[in-house]
Amino acid sequence: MKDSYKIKLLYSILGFFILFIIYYIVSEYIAPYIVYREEFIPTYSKIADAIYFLYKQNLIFPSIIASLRRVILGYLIGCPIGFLIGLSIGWSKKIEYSLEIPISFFRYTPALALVPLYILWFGIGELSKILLIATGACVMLIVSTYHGVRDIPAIYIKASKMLGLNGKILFSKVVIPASLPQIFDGLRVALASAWMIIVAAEIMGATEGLGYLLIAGRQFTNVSIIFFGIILIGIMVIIMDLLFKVIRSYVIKWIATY
Amino acid sequence: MNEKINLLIHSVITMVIIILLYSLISNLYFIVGKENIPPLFRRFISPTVLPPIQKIFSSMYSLFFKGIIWEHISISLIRVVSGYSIGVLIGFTIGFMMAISRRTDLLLSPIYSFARAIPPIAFVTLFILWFGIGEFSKILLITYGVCMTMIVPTYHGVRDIPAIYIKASKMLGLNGKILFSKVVIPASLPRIFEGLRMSLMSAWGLIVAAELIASFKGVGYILISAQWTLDTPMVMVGVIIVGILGYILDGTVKMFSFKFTPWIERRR
Repeated sequence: MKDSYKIKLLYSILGFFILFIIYYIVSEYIAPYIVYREEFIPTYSKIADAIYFLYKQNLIFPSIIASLRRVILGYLIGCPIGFLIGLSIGWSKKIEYSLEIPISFFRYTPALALVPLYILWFGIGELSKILLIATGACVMLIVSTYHGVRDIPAIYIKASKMLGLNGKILFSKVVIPASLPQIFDGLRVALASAWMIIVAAEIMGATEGLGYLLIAGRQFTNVSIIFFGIILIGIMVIIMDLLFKVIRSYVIKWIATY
Repeated sequence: MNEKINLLIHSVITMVIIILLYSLISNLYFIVGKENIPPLFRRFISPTVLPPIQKIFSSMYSLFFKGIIWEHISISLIRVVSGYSIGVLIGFTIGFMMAISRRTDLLLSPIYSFARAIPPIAFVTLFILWFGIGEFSKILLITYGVCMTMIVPTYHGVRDIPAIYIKASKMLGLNGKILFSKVVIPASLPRIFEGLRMSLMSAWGLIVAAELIASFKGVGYILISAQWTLDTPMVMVGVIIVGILGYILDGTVKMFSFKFTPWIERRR
């Protein structure tokens, strides 16, 4: 059952429109009766005021850039490490057996639980946040690369060995391309989890960034700022995800023709 | 069987190596003496950064045998379980509605795909302002996060049931309720269990984060209060406890999934 593009667009506009209308009615007419401070459910004009205020204070773009820098740096540090570890445990049974417990420990510990430890180790500055994201991304990549390499049909490896491929070419021509779809899934999940980690880490201690907008809104008891921060975070995640999909399609094309 | 013994031997060896290495490095400060360590390294292996292993064990001992820990653990677990069960019900209902009705799907999926992009933890400050720092805002946060993670697997699980199953059972005269309980649910169960496991892990991460941000009890509170007092051994013990509890929670759902979907082939 394929729906045409037009119907989809129509319905999505309708859905958002209904949402906006409901919020308008709630904030204008119902809010004074259910919350003890009206600004807890701000009207649209108040949200616009807050956005204008943030714009005047020059807080919007610096926050985005600060969070983005942390996410990208942490991601770029964590993913290659996770990829290498995942590759080695997927390839060699011995390494897999010996690293089983430490890795499953990191898998079941939410990266956010490491925030206090990293703050004690690396301070409350950039380093602890970047390393936190790196840890989260690394664990995601380990799992997905490991599964990707493990699930390569044994016949591929056997056939290429029989045809005389040695270590390096075997990896670059057979193992990595065959596990690539899973690795890309892991990369995508890692990106989403990196955003989750950075938001939480910035809520717990930061002086700039999108998470800081949320905490600032809480300190000023200004819900409009929080709303705006949440929506900005959502938009950033969606943009990064779209960019990721574009990159993925290019890389997969490149691998296929290489 | 051979594989299991192999795994056991290897993991025991790694754990022993890790513990020995750690106890050596963390006690270097006392064995060699502070003055003999180059200043560059001194910062990294000072007792506040890498507490000696005996201190970690003594923190563990005091936590478990003074009995403080059980209260914190039970409170965190109660929060997770109550938020999780409500969230699963709501998420399942929404996902099911989206899967069976094309209109609902078209109407909700754009909003949903935007809302899903927002990490649930971003709502923590909003919920604190709206509902206070008590139990309600934490449970609501978990409910929201679990609901968001449950929608996708339910939706795909129900939508991807081969049409022939439904048609055949309708032809054989099954009506609504039995069709639902005997065909739709079993056919979508594997996907739903995947979702259940994913959302439980996200709920566990969320509660720890929410407790780190604002709470007076719970596992996250152990971590944050140890951080405030620069009690590194306690932080490490807290992280280990969080990991073990996460493992237990996931293991429980995994066990249920083995029990209820025995026909699925699984690898470890």
